[in-house]
Amino acid sequence: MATLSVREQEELRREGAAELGATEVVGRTPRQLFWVRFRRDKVALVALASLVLLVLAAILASPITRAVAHPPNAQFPNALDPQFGTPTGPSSTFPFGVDKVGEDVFSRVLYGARVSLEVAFLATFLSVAIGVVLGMTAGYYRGWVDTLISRVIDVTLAFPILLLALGIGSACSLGKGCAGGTVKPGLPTVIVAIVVINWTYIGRIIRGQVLSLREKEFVEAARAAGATDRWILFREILPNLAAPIVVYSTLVVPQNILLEAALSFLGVGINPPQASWGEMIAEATPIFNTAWWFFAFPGAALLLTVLAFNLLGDGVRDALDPRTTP
Amino acid sequence: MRPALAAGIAALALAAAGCGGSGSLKSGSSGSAQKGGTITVLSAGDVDQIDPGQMYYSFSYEIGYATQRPLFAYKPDSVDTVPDLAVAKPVVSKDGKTFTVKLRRGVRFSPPVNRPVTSADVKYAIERGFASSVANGYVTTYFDDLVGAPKQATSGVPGIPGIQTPDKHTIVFKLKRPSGVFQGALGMLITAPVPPEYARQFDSKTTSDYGTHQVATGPYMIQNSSAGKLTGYQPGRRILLVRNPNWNPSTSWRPAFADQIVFREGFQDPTVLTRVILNGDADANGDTTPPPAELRSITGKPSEKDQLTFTLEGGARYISLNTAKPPFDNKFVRMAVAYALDRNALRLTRGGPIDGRIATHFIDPSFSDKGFVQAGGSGFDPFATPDHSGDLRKAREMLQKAGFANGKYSGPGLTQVADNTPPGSDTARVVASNLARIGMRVRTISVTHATMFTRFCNVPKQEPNICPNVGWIADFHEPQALLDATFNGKNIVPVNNSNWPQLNDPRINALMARAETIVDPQQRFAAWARIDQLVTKTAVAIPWLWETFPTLFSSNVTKVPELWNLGAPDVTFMEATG
Amino acid sequence: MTAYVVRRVLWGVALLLIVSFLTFAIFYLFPSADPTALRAGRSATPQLIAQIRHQLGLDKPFYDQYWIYVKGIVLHFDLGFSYQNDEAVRTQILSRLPATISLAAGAFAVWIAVGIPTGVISAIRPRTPLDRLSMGGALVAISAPVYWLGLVALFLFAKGTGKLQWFGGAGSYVPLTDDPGQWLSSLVLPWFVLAAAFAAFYARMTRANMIETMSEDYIRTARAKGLPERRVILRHALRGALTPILTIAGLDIGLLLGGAVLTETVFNIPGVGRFAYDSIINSDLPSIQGTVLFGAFFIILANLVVDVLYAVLDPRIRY
Repeated sequence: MATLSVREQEELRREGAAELGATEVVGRTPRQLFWVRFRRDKVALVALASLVLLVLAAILASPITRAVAHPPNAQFPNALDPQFGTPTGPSSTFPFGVDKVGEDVFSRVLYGARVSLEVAFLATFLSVAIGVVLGMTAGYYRGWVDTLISRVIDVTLAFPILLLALGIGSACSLGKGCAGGTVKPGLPTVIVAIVVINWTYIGRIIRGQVLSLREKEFVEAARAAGATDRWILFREILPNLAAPIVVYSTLVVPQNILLEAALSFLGVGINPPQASWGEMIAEATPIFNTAWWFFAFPGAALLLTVLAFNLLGDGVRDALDPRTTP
Repeated sequence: MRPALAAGIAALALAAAGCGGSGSLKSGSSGSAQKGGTITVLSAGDVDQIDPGQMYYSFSYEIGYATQRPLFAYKPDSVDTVPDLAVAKPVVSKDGKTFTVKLRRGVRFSPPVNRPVTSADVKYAIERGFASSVANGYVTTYFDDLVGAPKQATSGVPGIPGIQTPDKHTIVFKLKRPSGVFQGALGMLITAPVPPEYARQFDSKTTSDYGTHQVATGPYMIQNSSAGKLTGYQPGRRILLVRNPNWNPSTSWRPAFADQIVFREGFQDPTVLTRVILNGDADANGDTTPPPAELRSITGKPSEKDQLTFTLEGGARYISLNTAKPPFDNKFVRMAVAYALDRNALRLTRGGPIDGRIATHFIDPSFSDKGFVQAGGSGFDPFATPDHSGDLRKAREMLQKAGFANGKYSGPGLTQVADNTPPGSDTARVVASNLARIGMRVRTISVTHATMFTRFCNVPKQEPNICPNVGWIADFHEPQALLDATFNGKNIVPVNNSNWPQLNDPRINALMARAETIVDPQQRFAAWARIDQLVTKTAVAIPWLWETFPTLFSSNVTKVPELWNLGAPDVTFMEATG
Repeated sequence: MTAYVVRRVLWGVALLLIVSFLTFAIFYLFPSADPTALRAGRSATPQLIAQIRHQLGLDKPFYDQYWIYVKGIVLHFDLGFSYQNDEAVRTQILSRLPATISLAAGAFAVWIAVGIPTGVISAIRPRTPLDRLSMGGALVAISAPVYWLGLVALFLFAKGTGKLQWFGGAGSYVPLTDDPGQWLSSLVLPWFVLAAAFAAFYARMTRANMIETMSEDYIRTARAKGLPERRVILRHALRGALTPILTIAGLDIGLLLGGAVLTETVFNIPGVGRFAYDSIINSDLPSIQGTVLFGAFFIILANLVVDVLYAVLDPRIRY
């Protein structure tokens, strides 16, 4: 008998049911179920739409700023108060005002989106990838590999997180960077700092999952059928990890955005002339009561972006596993 | 004095002529002088050293001048030294090599030493500066011409034959070469007496801890125990000065109104520091100035405006270009930078016109006819640009002369090391942006102030192409003190170097060597003015600000003019009225 | 059981050693203010520099310096001496500890008092406007960076800078013993700002846990037995929901005792977190090591306590 695709089987079933006059009962794969539920969640859809818009705005930052604003690194000392050098607020030429050296805040907020999004995706992707690989290895092979990886995770987690990130950031922010110049100051440093810390959480989770999965019957069956470890790991176990991976990623993306902003706020992340929301808020701190636009706009941008990711994450988690919403 | 280490350093108290900033000074109501009360001064950082023989930061001198009596000191309003421990100006021999100073009687050390001060104490104070356990940072610059002064740090306190004490109240300095500026050096804290019989036990350790056991000769002392250990010094947090019971007011021109003076440290945020003073919870700012946003708000309110005083600094801020490596070994490239910089924008990063005048050479206006006028005043500006905002056309011309085809720099990228906090970081941003307009890609390394100096800019081997946050204030009011340490080739040292451009021009070096020995003041000022002009024309460093230092007083104290080289009020003249 | 505890304690100590070694290594190699140059003053000769370097013990090889350091900690609890601040690291940390504890304890009280009841109420009345409002608010609170919230709070409520001058602003912190009134006033805004994200997180977690617990069989049994709803919720459901939350609370406290860097920075509170940040920025190696060790100690301790408690409560769990 030729194997039929899921769709073909579905159609056959439906036809058969219709013939019998039965009402349609449609079976759905988990993935289809996910999409159905997700589509129903209006809030999550709005969040997704706004994030898409944000990504577009970040990609198109260059033409946008050229059209309606000024290049982000161009300084306009004439926009500063000639008496005291203090920055001026929103005006017709500078919709979000200027910063202390006369750069256009609107442009910098737009370019700052690039940084936040790059960190969000790159750092999350890398840390998840590393965490999953190492977690699977530890959980599946056990023995000394497991001990080694678990101990490394323990040590990393014993450090106060922010201090560790600060330490890496500060150590690599000078001159040539660190690791013999491969990690340059700025964005690479921030990403490395975040990845070094973050992989441990997903690593632990995945390890735990694999520990229990490896005892399951389907794994035993695959082994009995002669499958290699590689096959088992990537074809049998990994697909079952999809849900926790997705859930974890949605949780951690907004946290990583905030972490990068915090590092830039503390001065060890992105430094001028590159624009970063966290760094702009740091600059605003001494003058916040006289130059409110300077912390309001980057802060609002940060808040809204992270909020959108959180809402999206909530929606994804709910759609995957509706048990937590009654 | 130390290169600009806090926001704004020294200040020149204006002469009554009142040129430049608004130095309206109340000369302390003499009749109704109020004694008593506590005065609080806020600062961001701590003293560099608590030992008066090691102090160098301006902020440290605030405490030093209140607790110690060097041979000469400064009254507010005066740029010339007046006798403090001395009774009169030194008697200088005809050949300019011997300085005789007579000491005041009736000056005693504070508890637990208690005894009267003698000339041997001043001799010991200077000698201990040469010991490696004390290692005074400026003693070799100003006192190495003393006959018998050691060439390098000695283990143990050396005896210097060039300092003689014929009797208990006379001290004689014999120099190897004539000097017109030695008297100025006698106003530094290293000449404040130190009792040898008490101090030796501390100075004989590998690192002397006399500082935490010091005794005072001034109107105040750091609170100490009966055994002499300081209790009033909590590093990084607080310094408490109480009255020195052995100070005799009739021997001193210091009024010393307040009973106690508290220095509260750790106010890293200048805005917070300013607000605390405005609230009346503290009385003056020590090492940090109110930031521009606050200045704007204060000058906008009539009630608060009166609490501000402004004084001129004795020195300049400049952008230093490292001539030891390309491209700044080429004078046309340097001149291109001089033309490209927008000095107006640079000044705006520190607050604009309220922060001072745009500098065009290195001897500043506070020197008036002691070299400023002779150097051409504000009119001397070899790299003048319209409105001081930069002239890109001229900059490109210079680059063409340097060999860059269409006037745009096309060499390798440049590095600068700058402060990681404003306003220094903002200055660096403006510099990078200005230079980008002539094609120079400048990478900025942001580090703390201290790191910038001790690891990068002060170390010739590690120095980047540009050090944008440097400046210099004179140690005493002589043009030599502005130009010698900073532009003399012989003063380039491997660590803690202050000749940042590493200028080593034989002609200028020779002129300086000669000028150092001129005894006649007018000739000396003219000679240094000429050196100033020559150095400016080399464009190894581009001056951009002759700074004005604002001091904010609370409404609970009288406003006092600042000491010219401190950028902070003289606490011995402040009255607590509130 | 004892063997398990002993093993965990030993591993905790080993962790501390490893942490201290790694910290030493990370910061040893990177440029910072050279303490020798700071001491030596202007125009110091190379000979003087070498002399001072020797005095400070900085010319010894890496391993020597580290060994001296570890000996100091183990034998004398001496966390080293900071050349930049001219004071022992231990003294500086201990003097800043009260401020950090004030901040952490207060914030903890606020977020427990606000977060858990909110979560419970939301769980009892799911999908009502109240639920949506509080969960919405919680979501915003976890999305906002704490230092930005701090600035907003200062901008609105702080004396001297705010629109409504209700509470002490940045830099107004004084120790409790100096002036209780001002101490309290200076901490209100930091408490709420620091607690915001935690309260939101705990509210969401409580709600989720409560909903899950309430659908369990034993709750249905309790209801069927005729117990009043209130009792069902507070006695039975809440207890089940709270256990995981308490462990997280323990870990959070451990984390906060190492200092809340961001909050302390924005509000200018002289706590351990601020000190840690300042040390890192100034590359003051001894202070960095001291503060990292200090923070790590509490994290490890909190983890240890939680693990042991779990082991006590659930004999199935062994590592």
